Amino acid sequence: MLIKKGVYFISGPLNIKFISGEVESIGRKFIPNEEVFVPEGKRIPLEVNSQEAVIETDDTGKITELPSRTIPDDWDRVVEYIISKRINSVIIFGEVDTGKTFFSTYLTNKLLSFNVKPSVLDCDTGQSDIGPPSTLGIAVFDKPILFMTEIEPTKLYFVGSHSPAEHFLHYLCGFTKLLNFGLKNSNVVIIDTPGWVLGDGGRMLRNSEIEILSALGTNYLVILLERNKEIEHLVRSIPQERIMRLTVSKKASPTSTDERKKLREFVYKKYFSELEDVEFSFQEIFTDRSYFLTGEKIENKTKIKSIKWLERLPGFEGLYVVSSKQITDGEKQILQKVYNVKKIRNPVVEDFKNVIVALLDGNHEFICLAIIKDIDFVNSKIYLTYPKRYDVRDVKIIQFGSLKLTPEAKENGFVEPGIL
Amino acid sequence: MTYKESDFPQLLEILNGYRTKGLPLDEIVKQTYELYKRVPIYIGIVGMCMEHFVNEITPNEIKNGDTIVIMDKNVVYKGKVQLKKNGKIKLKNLMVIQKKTTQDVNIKNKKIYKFNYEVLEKLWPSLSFKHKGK
Repeated sequence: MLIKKGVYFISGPLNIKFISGEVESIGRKFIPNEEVFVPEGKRIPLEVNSQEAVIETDDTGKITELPSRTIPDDWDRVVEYIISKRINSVIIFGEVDTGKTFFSTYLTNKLLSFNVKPSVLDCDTGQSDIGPPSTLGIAVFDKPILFMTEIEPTKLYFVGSHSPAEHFLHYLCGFTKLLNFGLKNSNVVIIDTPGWVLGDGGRMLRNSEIEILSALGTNYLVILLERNKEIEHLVRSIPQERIMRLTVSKKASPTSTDERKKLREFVYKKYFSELEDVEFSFQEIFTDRSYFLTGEKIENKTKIKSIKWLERLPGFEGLYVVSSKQITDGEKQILQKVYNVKKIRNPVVEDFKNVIVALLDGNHEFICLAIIKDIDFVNSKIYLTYPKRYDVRDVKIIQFGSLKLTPEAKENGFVEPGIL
Repeated sequence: MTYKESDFPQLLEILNGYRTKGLPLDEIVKQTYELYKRVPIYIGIVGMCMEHFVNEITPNEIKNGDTIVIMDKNVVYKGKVQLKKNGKIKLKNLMVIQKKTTQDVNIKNKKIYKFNYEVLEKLWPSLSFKHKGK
């Protein structure tokens, strides 16, 4: 197929082979005979810079010509600014569907073309491109890409949920940890943030990210992807030379919450493919972000048959009671009397099932996600399913999350924070 | 992440605990709200106070001026004690909640509200999962 100089839009799924001509997409130049695949649900712009180019494809109907570039002209000056000012971290703010990931991809490719080694810190726990949902991920790049999803994450951090809401502290811990990693292992860290920019939570998170960038002594730049000055409130107190306002790409289009859920499930399904089961005895692992297995195991001195597990927690935290069904008020009074405690924390066995957890090594480094299948409280064993491509021999810590996922990677609700 | 980042959910547990005892919630919610407005950054202390807001007492302990709740078989009385005399009390600002199986009600010229139990399904269907009660 012969295509003339201009801009085209390609919708996946589609295979394309570039035969000749100068063609690029999102700042990535193609070489003759290179083949790329655009996955389903993804769309990319194609810029033909030579008078004509020859491509081969299995469906020409998925290529449409556009009247102008989808990449705004002001994007081109960002790279020069970053290089000339020796910027080492670029944080991108924008509402949902303003093309933050698209811009991150563009910036990555452009920096690489100037021999600058970038890393991308993907903070969008709901619509993760680097790593599965509920994690923060960083990838260090040494070659241009079309989609962030193409690359294996260099390092991941488990936030515990699709949203930073009710998980602020761990989000910020992960942000700091991965940012530090990026600063040590690349020239520029590009930070792709979630679209939560309004209200108490949005303002607090974005403001904290800037504070961390500043506290770590980075030479940072804030990119605002705005349509109509809608996120100026985030940068009111920041020196103007640290801010760059860019136009939202024409490519950016809204995604419904339902589509977002489907996309998440698609990524989960890909992550949790080819599963293997593993069991750990309570003695060989530690738990993290839970009360479970953090107290002193005690025997059931009552006649309450539904009780499966008992721990005495420190101080006023009281008693941790796992039961097959919720204990009654009367049973609670018996437990309070027998063990001389006021507070009783009472998860039921069902609460543990299908909870997503992160498996960590002894240094708190992320190995992989897993799903709790069952817990045998009699024999002190926890049964998990995990993607078998990961080596779990070094697992020392099970870090609890607040989401539930079926083994078929379907979202299955939540576990209330503070319960397990 | 299974830790709560805020003590706010505990307030819901306390309110729900009072509800399951059958207590009328208007005064309790009002007091929770007022305490929160007074010490908004100490939600745990608001919760601690609210746990002790309602105490069961004997008839002898009732004093004039007390706001009390009397729970009978199918009727709940809430009011301020105006007069206590000969084992009886007179309540003012009285609210009576009576449980009945059925009741004919004239709806003409009345302000009517309806509860929408499917609100999550309608407003945010992607977060609606098959509810598994404990």
